[in-house]
Amino acid sequence: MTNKRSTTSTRGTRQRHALAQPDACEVLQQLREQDFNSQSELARQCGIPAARLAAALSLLAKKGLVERPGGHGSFRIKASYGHVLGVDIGGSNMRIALADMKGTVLSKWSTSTKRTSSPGMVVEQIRTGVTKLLEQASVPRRSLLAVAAGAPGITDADSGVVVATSYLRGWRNVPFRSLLESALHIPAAVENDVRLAAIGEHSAGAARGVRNFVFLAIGTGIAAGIFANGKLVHGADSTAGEVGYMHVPGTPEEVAKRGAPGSLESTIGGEGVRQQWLRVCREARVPPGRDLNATEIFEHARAGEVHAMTVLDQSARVLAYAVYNISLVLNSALFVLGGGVGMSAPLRDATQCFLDQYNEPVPPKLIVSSLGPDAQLIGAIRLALHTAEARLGLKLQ
Amino acid sequence: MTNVVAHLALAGLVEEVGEGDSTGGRPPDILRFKAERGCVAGVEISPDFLHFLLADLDGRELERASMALDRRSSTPAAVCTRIGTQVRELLGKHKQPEEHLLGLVVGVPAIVNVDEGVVLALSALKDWNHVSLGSMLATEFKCNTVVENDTNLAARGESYRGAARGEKDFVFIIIGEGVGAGIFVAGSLHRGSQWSAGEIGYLRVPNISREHPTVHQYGKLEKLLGAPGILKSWRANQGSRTRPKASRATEVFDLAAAGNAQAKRLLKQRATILSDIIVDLALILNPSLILLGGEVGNHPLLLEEVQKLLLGSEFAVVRVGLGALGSAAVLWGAICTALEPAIQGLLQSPNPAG
Repeated sequence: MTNKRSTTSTRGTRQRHALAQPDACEVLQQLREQDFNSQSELARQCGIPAARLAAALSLLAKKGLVERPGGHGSFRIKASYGHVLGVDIGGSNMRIALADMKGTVLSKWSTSTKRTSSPGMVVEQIRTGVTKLLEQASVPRRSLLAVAAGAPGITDADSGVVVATSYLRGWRNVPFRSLLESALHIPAAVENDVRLAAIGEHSAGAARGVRNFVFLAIGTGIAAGIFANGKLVHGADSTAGEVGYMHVPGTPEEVAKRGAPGSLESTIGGEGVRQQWLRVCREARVPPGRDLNATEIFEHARAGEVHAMTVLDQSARVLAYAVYNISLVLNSALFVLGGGVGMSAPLRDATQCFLDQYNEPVPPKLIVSSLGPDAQLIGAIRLALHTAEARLGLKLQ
Repeated sequence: MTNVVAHLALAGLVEEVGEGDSTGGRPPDILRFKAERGCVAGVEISPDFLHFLLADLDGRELERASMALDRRSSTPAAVCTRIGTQVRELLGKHKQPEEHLLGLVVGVPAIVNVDEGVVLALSALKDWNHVSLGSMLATEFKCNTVVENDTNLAARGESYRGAARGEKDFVFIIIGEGVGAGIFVAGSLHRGSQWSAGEIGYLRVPNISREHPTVHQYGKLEKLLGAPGILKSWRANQGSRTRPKASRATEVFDLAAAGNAQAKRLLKQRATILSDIIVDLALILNPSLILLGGEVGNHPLLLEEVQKLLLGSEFAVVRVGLGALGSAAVLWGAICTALEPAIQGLLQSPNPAG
């Protein structure tokens, strides 16, 4: 018969460490922002009692993830404990970043995806890129802990399957996470590009620490990455956030179907804004001049050009309408605007003006993304770090 | 006994009732969960009524009660007193001492700061602006008390034992005097940053004439879909003396069912607005299910029209159904909310006074 006391104490230690796991993740999150001088300060930041913090720190120190140089003084993450990879796959190019445990990017690599199409080819490119990155940064392969990749399309994060993509041609139900894990021999995570950008904004952008916000990407298409109660919203079939298809009021200048409702995307997506501009010019019998894109049209509006101002006004009204309705459903305090059209400051300003006029006690706040096109890559790195942490915790049990 | 069972027994939650059949070794003890070890109460405050439900720790209904409220004299203090009296009466009926009341949850038709138990604004009742109902209830009762928005509780009720059992992402749309929604995301209630997620009554929707709506022709959803708005529309168009009268919005839908052409047109217009809202909710949240409830929402003809319209939509159709608990959804949501902390509370400070 086994010694009862020793069995109990082993189970007790394992249990203690198991309980410390979510706290450990919170501690790492805080330490990524800054080093801490005292345990009580760290406990307060994490919002956990001192005893739980001590358990979490002991777990992390045991693993070598956290160090206290000199035995006393500030706590910090051992940045060189291991490394992670973030992959951002777009329609025309792919970027991969190698980061340390603090999330600091050590090196980047990119390649064109214009001639790639099949998942197999993309995974090959990623494999090549990773090898190059490791050489560039002189990091040994065995220190790689996890990889996270963003795909442009409907992605089931739980199963790691890319259900359908818009621009990478013909991806249908691709088990992308397994493919990555087989190619790179490390744990992988897969998410769609808009949600990755939302993760990026939440970890390092304007939505840092905000539990309820929407990242609204307005470019060729329009989609949202939604955070509710501090977590990403996926929905039952991973299609939450497809707000580009929402019906919105029509624009009066639409000659063919005067004022008929259109979808958000067809009205203020990149092409929609261009079409508005061409219509306004046509109505005013003014030549549209050279082919302007949405950002340029809005800049002209800011400079006082009358027809561009009409387009900006219409677009801002429609965007305010959509944002207002989405905020009533979600009660998100903050909307971060990204994408080629969304990053326009004049659009943000005009839309906020209309929002402030709605009869709302606290109108939602609009901010242009400060991370811009890097949001996805930063989100990928953050997701890779979470994936690495989860696996480290599991190994202990 | 194992540690876990010993703990439960100490808390008075389980007892042995005999021995089972041996499968080789010592015969197992048969344990019974002592649901009568305590009880929980749910209360629903509506502008005209107070509704009560008392349940045991299994969530089994013990007793129900309702009492009318006079909107003009229903101040927070008066309502609290009436709640206290009625709950004690229900406990007495079941010979439960007050120490056995392990939780009380109150649903109100208003936005509630659940953390602090503050009702932000309840326009239908007198003096209900920024009311610390939670602290008032805490002076009335010793047990854990929670205040929550009624629509949120209704969603929880349907999730607990109604039509949304097992659904992690769903929306419960309640259409009565007003319009609101309770939203579940990844298995939990979603309240938002200022406690007001789901205030869909304020959604801007195209006015009835959908021919050429611009932003200026959009109005509040509640005005069109709520019971008063439907009745108003029906009476406003009372041109012909032969048009039947209706005293409730549901009667207008009944007339549509009976074949009245104007009623059918009104129903179709409202169903169109509702199905557009459902499409938007589906695009934003991707729920697996949308439930309809409330005096207007519960009408089967409205559901039928909505389902027909959704079939014609360009998107994958989300499942739409009726709530299963009817007007008891809020109370059952309250019971569900009270149960978990009640049992947790017993486990944390076990007291063999079972």
